[in-house]
Amino acid sequence: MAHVSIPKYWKALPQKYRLVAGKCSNCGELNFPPKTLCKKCGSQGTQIETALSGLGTVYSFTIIGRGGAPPEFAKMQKKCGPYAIAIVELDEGLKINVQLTDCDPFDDVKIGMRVSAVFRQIYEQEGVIRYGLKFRPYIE
Amino acid sequence: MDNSIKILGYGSYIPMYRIKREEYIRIWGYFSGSIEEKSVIGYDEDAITMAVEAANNAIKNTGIDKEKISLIAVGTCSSPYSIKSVASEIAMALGIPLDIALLDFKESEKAGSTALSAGIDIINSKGGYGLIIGSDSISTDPGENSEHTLGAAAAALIISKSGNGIAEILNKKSSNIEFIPDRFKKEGSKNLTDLEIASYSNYAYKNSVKNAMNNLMKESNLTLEDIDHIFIQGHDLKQPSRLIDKKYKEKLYLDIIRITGDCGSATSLLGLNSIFHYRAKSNDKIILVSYASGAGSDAFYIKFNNKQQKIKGVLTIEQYINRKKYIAYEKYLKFKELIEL
Repeated sequence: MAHVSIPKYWKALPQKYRLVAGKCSNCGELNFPPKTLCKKCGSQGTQIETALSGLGTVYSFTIIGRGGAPPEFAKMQKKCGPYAIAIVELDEGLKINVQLTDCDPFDDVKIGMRVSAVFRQIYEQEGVIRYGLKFRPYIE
Repeated sequence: MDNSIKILGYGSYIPMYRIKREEYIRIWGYFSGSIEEKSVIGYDEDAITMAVEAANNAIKNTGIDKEKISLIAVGTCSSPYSIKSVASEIAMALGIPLDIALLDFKESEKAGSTALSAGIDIINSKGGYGLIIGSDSISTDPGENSEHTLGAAAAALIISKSGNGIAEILNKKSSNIEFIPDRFKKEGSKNLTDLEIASYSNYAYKNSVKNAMNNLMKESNLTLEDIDHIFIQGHDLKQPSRLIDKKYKEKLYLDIIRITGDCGSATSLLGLNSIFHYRAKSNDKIILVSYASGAGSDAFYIKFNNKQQKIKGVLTIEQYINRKKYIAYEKYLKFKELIEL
């Protein structure tokens, strides 16, 4: 099982729970997750915490069948069966890799479909439920 | 109650999965409870994730700056943890500063209304904005009659002493008539026990609810004639319906329970949200009553002012009701982890 320690998970909570990015005060570039150096202009220590909207579009996706999931997702997969993961292009222009939920991976997921972020259980490790964001079909 | 408290906004959450009563009949040969279908928690959800979505919706609908929230009071009987705050996890998920009051109530199936009652008193004395949440997906052994109606949902309110409320809580009363519980969950047990002593159970229900309701109405100088809408928490539709005189039946609005089933601590707040959304008109008077075995009832007198505006991308209770996918009983057992995985 890929081990992510509690301190490591905790350090990334703002990103995992609320999609907090770092906006470079020098060039305006959004860095997700926030970085020490801006990925565009390279300036150091200039990033301002900025929450992303959590709205985006499916850029690409694939379906993880039984046996294809990392071990930490094995229990979840016993419950849900095959599930979709996607590269979502957020409205702010960033692309992130996420799990999709509240949809049938075979029938419902389409490239270009609108999705929104939702707070869900991701997996459990050391008895602690690791929460985070997944994406689901957007409803206006 | 010294001062009235404003309800600035509300938010609901109902998971998308549903199971029909016919599906139970297919497996068990009968269905115990007067509902049509119930909501089922998804494979990656729990009381915390449902509470977060309802709370997020309430904050967005109200339009307040979440930094201003000074209290989170949450009621649930199905927290994934028995030692660990649910309110603190919700605060982290919402990004609310952590120097606020965090209250968890897990004492009974009316924990949502206990949270509201405590929240009202704290906001009344200290001011600020209170986020009140009820969230539940209670489990018990498959085959138990009580299991048939156990659904899943969450509901949230934002309350404050000032501001333009969509509604106003004018009074509240609790009934603590002593009854030995016939429905409970022992420490360490995953599942609820219901002794199904029907006559005793109905007697306790009737007395607790009536006592809280009558005391509230008496103190507020009201009769049922003056009330426009009533919601009473129950395990199905029949239980609350028995308590209201035929003459006033149309005031009782329980439609949400027909679709979600018994959502435990979320039931009372969800019922109130459904009245706000579907029924209430300006100046309508609402009576909300909760009930839990071994705990009693809380009753609230609420006056409705105006409809909450629809915010784009924030789902209403109606949108959650319409967003549904029926599942088979076998899948239901897996989603609720009622079989070993």
